[in-house]
Amino acid sequence: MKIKKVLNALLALLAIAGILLLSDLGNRIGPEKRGTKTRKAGTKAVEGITYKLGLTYFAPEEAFEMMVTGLWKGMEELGFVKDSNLIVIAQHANGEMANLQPIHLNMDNQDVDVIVPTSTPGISAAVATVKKHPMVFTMSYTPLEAGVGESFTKHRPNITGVASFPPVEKTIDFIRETIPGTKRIGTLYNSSEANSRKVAEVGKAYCEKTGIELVESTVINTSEVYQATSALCMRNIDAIWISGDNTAIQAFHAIVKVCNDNKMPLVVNDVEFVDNGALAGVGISWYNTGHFTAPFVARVLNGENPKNIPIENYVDELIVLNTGLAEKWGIQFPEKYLAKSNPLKGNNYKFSLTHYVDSPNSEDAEHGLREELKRNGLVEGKDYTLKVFNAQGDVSTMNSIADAVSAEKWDIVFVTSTPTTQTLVNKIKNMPIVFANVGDPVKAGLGISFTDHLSHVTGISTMSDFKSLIELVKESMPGIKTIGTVYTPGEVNSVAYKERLQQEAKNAGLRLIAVPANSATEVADAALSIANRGIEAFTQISDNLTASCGSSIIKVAYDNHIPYFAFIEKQVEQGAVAAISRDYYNAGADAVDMAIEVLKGKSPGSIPYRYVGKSIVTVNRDAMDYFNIKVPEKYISEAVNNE
Amino acid sequence: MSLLIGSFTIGLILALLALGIFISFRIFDFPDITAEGSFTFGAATAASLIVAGVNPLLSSFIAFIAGMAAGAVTGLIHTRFKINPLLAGILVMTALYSVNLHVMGKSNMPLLNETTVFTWIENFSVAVSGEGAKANVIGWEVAVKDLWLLFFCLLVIVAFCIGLWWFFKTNIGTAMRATGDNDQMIRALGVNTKAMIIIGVALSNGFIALAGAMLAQYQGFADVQMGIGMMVWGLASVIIGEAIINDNSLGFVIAGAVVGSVLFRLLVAIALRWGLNPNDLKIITALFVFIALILPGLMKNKKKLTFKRRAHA
Repeated sequence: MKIKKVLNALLALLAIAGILLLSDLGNRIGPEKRGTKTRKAGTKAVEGITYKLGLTYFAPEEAFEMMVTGLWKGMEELGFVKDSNLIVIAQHANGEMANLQPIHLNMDNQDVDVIVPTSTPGISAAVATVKKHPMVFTMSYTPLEAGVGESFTKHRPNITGVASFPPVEKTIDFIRETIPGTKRIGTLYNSSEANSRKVAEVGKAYCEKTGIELVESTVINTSEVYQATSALCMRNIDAIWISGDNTAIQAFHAIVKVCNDNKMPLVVNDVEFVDNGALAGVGISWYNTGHFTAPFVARVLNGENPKNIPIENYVDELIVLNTGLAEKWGIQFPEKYLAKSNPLKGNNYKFSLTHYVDSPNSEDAEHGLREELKRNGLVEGKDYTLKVFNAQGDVSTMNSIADAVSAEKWDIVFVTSTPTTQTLVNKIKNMPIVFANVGDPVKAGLGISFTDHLSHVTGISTMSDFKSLIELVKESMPGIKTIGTVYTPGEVNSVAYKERLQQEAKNAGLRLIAVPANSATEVADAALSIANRGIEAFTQISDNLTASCGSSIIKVAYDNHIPYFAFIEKQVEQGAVAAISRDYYNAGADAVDMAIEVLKGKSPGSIPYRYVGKSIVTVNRDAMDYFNIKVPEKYISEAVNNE
Repeated sequence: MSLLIGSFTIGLILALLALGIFISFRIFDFPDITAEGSFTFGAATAASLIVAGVNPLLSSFIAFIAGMAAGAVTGLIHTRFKINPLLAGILVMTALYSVNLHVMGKSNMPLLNETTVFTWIENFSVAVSGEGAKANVIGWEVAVKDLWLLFFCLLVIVAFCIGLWWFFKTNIGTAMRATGDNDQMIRALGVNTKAMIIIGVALSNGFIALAGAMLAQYQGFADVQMGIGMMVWGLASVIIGEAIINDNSLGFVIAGAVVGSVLFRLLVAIALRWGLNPNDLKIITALFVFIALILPGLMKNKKKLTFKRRAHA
């Protein structure tokens, strides 16, 4: 009988665990994995085998980093997880052609299953040196010039890969249509790079066909780029076009600077470099190129002979526009390019969003987040899915949510509020986490400083703008000496805010009287006790407790004729003289902007934490009259809601 | 799968809480609300000590002692000053809120960069099977580290259960159980029931504080509000366990509390995994718990019915 009872309990446990596992079937590492579009046989990792991959590159530079990020991501989707069942041995030539041959020789003598050479000069060296191992190349405009073979199907038996010849004709068309009346286009490259010569040749031929002159300028090393670009700008050209020339790309910042000084439109083929200051990019995303290369590498890792795998040219014909710069320079992009310019579309991203509790702040943040996604042209259900969790204020539920979130693969894990962020950051190490509505991320243990923080986390701090409010108070009430606030010792943000306010007050020569309140019933008493201690103004910090009981403090302020300044916009309607508020709506929106940087390939660790971009000034004229004070005109004109 | 493993782990950690609640509510029939305060007290004590550089194991042990102290105060207030047990609990719980703030010096103490008991296990896992190692568990990919964490928690809970079982079988333990069952009888036998109650409530809160200390280390921070609602969930776990095991002998009731706690976390996990409207989470959880509670009874009724029919035939 007793044994039966134990069995019953075990059965119940098993049944429930079974239900949970059934709902989790989608996450099994089986054949039905997400994104099984064009998988041919033999691209999946075989269990129990550890693969070794040798990676060679010219120099650590941005384009390479982006490609590699895409490559590892693509490999992971095929079951090859870097540093787990895929050991990567990477070597680079320190940017010197002379080193290319030795590193490939060295790589050939290593115990690897495949060698992945990158960039055209690297591939040349690899073809000449590597004898014992199969190879899959990538990041080359013109691999045939590098010597991999006669054609994409008839190539050397030990090498295959991905070519990425840029859409030269489309680029030139783009320049013609964006800058009407284009007569001369300038370009700059290192004439010793085979791929650049080839691109320039193709470009020149097409330009002649369309009646445009291609003005070429060649350099030998990076130190010449600045001067050469300046000279090019003097040669009466209408735009500069830079293709993926290694030398030009390494000195890209110099080119951008010269172009900005001369207001010269700069169009590139590596779309990622638009973020670095080009006007527009037409063509290649190195991230996508890396991602596209992954199945080739996988097939060779699974023993397929490179001889039988045709080389493919991969160009995704992306268009990325720097609309900010165009606006500044008065350039109008043609409509058809604007419509095509969003690289984020169609990726079907998976986002999750976790709240700690239902509050106006978290709702505002979610609203802002959804709207910002929309503003970026992303449509829910088509371009992304957003799954929302809410711990409803319960710590143990929050831990279960952390497990639920970590059980799935998300492109971005969004979180609001401090405890949620802490729990998820502790649980999830392998997905990018972007937080919003965290008052003080450093105090919350999310990093040593805003720039030095965990590598998979970034986000938006909603700490109030104490300095601005203190300035506003001082300018509105000249000669003020003492200010006061109620705070909640039980809320980490509240204490941190109080300390910050104290610091700012001290800097401005004011004395702050802060009195604690632990529950809603204590708030009014606390406010009264401050009022009786001779303060001249309330500068009420924002925390959960005083935000919900704000009106009781405002009542004390009115009864005692002490002006009330706030950090919450809503309190201005309730009678505060003025408020400088962080907008949680904007916090959500800003979090999306950060997430987009991450989606474009940036590591969250390299994106510093930021304060919410916008502070909102709100003033109340009735309250100003009642307390007989004058908020300076500059704030009133800035205010969004002056009654 | 990692959701399942995570739920088991949290379920086992919170089983300590359920055991604590079980001691006060079931053994002593003492409705002890101190739990909400002592849970946080344990977390706060352990977190502060760990941040101060104390060995995490020692910190957890001190948290256990701290919880016992809190429980002893509740017991004392009740027995010496004849204050209703509910009110005694409320008093201590309320006071602990301030104590916790003082212990931590602030309301939230991150442990993300500190060495905790769980960091040790993670390091151990890295040493044994390498960084970021994954295992294949019947088709799901699982971090090996999570498996070790689960194993460790299981070990700890089993050890505590056996310890508790043994304790309640000793003379003093038997006297304690008898105090809860029939205090007049046991007083007639010359046992000091007041002392028994104090020891019992202290032990109960020691367990609860240890649960708090473990959860803080597991989730990476202690927060002054983390105890809110914990007592209710602990109680729910105990009752679910009883309903499923349905046996009054000591060993089974202890096991029931653990099973109930794990089961409860699993139910929450299912509600989460189904991705229902987040606002409905609590009602779904309540519904699941309801079903879990009535299902054993329904099954028994059905059996009886069939039996009766056969008897008639």
